[in-house]
Amino acid sequence: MSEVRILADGLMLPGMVGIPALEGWIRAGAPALPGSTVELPEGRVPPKLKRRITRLSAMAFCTGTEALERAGLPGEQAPLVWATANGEINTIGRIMDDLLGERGKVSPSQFHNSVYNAPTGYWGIATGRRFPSTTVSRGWLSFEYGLLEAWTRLQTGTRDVLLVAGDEAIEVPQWADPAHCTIDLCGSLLLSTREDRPALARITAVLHARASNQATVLERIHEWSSEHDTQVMVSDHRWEGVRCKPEPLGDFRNPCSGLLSLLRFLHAPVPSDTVVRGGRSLLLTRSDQDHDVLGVVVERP
Amino acid sequence: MARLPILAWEAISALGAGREALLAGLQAGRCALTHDSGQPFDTPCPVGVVRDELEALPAGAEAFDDRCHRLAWACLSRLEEPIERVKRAYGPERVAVVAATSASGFRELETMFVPGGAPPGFDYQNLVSFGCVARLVRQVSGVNGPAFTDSTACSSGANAFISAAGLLRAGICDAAIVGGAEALCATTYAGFRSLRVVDGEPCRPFDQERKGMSLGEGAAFFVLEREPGELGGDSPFLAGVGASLDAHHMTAPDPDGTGSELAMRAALDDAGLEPGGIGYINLHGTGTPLNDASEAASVARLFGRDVSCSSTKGGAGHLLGAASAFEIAISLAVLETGLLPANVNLQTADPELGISPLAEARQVDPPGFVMSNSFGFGGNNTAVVLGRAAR
Repeated sequence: MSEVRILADGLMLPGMVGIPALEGWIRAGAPALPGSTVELPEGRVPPKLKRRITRLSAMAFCTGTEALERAGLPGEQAPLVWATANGEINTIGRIMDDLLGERGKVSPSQFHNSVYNAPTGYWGIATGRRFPSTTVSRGWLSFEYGLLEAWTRLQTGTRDVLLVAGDEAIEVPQWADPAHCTIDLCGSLLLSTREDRPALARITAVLHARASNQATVLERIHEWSSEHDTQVMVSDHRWEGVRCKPEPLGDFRNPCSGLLSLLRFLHAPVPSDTVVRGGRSLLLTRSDQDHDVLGVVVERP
Repeated sequence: MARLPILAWEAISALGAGREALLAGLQAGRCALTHDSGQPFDTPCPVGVVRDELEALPAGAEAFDDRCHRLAWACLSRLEEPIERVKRAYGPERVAVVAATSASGFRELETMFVPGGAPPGFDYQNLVSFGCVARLVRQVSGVNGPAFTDSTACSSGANAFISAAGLLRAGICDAAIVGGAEALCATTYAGFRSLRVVDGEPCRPFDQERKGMSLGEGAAFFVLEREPGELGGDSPFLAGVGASLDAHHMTAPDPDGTGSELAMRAALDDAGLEPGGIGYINLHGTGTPLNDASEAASVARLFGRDVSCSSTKGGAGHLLGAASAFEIAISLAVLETGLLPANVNLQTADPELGISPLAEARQVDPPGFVMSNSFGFGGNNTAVVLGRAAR
């Protein structure tokens, strides 16, 4: 197993653009977020794309470049893994509304923006880089499966992987379900097996378990927790009895919120209340309606 | 890379349900594209529609019931025996699922946008959110390994193979169910027409008169194993994968084919082969003037004019999110039978293109290695090399 290290990261949330803003937010005690929509900063998206790029693709571009810049590797040819639950769902909704509503047709300048991999396409066009790229999706575990995808690439010969994950607040009135994504969130991790650069943390394990009943999964989590002497973070409040942190977004919901939990762990002052038993490691786990559990063990230096 | 045995595969398309129907369609060089589509939306341009009655999903999977998932089930129900074999050999928790789609349940989602047509309680998580395809596959297969979806438009299936190869090579699982599914829907049909890239007649890839693509639907699924163990002794295998971004335009390919050449070279390197080792290429070949010219340029540079190759999209159409998986199935059929499929509907190959697609199907000694190309929106290029043991 190659050791996987987190070299740098990036983040966008409403009212919080960039890692320094995240650090300020943590210092302020993680107050409630000011709204559901990210306001894109001026000057970050290349002018040639500004009028064409979707908001989600722009967020992915900004947070991806932030991680590369923070790592001091702005021109790096790292393969890109984009993880998203709903992809360009707002664009898809607009297209369907146009086609099936009064307008009766699809705009040719919109259609290609509906694909799940639109952010990676814009990334290539903006940077001119031709490295491999994919887009993975798995509902409320999309970020975690993106991490698994990046992990397997790093274990099989790829030196660096830029993982970008995010979803945008769903604005399609046809399905205003509170269980859906209600806030923009996009973030990134530059993951690497190289040892010659400073790192924020290392990932020591990526774990997967699924059991047909919840009790078995809970037992598995307890086992991992004691084996690794780590704090457990779970996304699912139904799991009473597990030492857990609540969803990091307050009343908002986003499928990729596990990424925010991880970034909060990476940037919290040590020791802090996010780390139990004086440890420096985190077992971040999430589960979904299929009792699928993905865990990642992260250790800070 | 380590060769990953492919124990079994199944496919469904306008050419029919199941591998035997596909083999018969390829043998006959049949074009199943038709104006008479029976779709709930107008199709002035011909499409490749699955005519077979699609069986309902099995008990326990009812929440996933839509056309895309039924197409997947049409393959998976035929793969029950090999799936049971890998479950027995490795345990259900060691069998992963990587699925591919680029429209998932759009067809059902569209019903919500028709004025007055929104059914209450539409199940977004099980029908539309793209991870649902992988969850459905896992549900009906009874496996417990990691399960997720790759979605990179028309190259989704190849990226699912790349992801599965990563899981297998990293030892995360011992076997994997991989594949893609796509149902025709009004949105993608109208979307491609808005770009003026759909032919009013059945598509003619690489023809000098080619005018665009024809859309289709279907699915293809595969059972892969980590090591050539007792199960997959002389199975065909995944030999190499390659990918690149075009870094050019969201829909138009780089005219020089620089990006697609990178993907093909990477797949050859991964397989440890020189271009001369490839006996047949299943081209992406959508039938649009620009796509075919770009692909032909890179294929000609890498393999020369005489490499055996064809686009099979004139048969069942472009299956979009399932296209890559479906054409990997066709490529496996080439390894198994030695039947090089015709570039269906080709009348006069475009002399400007520098390659020689097969106007007729040709029976040869099965090649040792074949390649399948797939390129998607966003400039997502992939190439997959498949091989078989020497006989």
